Amino acid sequence: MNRLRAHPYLVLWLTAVWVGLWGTVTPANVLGGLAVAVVLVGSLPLNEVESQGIVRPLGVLRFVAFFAKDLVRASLQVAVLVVRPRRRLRQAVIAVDVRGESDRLLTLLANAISLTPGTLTLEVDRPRSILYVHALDVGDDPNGVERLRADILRVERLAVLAIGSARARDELAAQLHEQTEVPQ
Amino acid sequence: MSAVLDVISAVLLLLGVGFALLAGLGLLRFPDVFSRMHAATKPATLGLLCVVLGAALQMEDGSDAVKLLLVGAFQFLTAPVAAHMIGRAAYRSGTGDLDALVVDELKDVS
Repeated sequence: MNRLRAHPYLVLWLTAVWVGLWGTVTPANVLGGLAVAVVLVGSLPLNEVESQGIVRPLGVLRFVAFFAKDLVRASLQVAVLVVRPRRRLRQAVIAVDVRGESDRLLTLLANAISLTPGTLTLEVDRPRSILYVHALDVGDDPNGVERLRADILRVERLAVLAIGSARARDELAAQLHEQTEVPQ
Repeated sequence: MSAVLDVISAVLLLLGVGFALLAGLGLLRFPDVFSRMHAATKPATLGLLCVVLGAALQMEDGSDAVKLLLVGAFQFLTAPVAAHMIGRAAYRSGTGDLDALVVDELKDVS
């Protein structure tokens, strides 16, 4: 029972998949899916997911919009690399220190990085919340590495705004405030 | 209306085919495990998504469209995990061309 209470969204998702696979929304399908979902979630060992994060619909929309834009931009970049005459790729593995306040946030971020063409999460240091990211090509520009790190941190900020806890969001707001008050 | 849908479908399908072609080309042309991983997983995912969306628009039965969208959703959930595991294995086993890295901030830690 505790497990069911800890994973309400998982039950909803599994039911939705079940109904989707049957193809039609009928009472029998919904009830059947719900039954399967409850049995699965109730009987299988699942990791505890911290519930300190808050899902903000507007933040999620912004994250998705940014991610979609990034996906297209990065795809075109990789497309150019593929078609261009042979040239040595300047590959790199960089460490990005992120706010790893929850597994959910870290997973979202690692997956977003891996799905974006040109970057791939190689290794995750959970205790220190550092992501090691492989980049397909950092370019000839010596600032390429730093620019990539900044790009990833931008995705991280959007992720915090989308599903981070209230505390993390306040910290982020304070940080941004400081940065704008003290001009470089 | 259906003409508009047809055009959107056609564009999406062609885009998807283009991405799949790029994935294949990248797999052939890129030099080592890491770069090939980039080519094999990401454009292929995007390509599949385009094809699935394009096909879903043509389904007369809404339930078939939902099934197609589920295919896309699962691809999005599983592709990054697979890419991460293969990439990590390649790094740890040294199969990837580590000398080709211009920067390696993981080396000092592992």
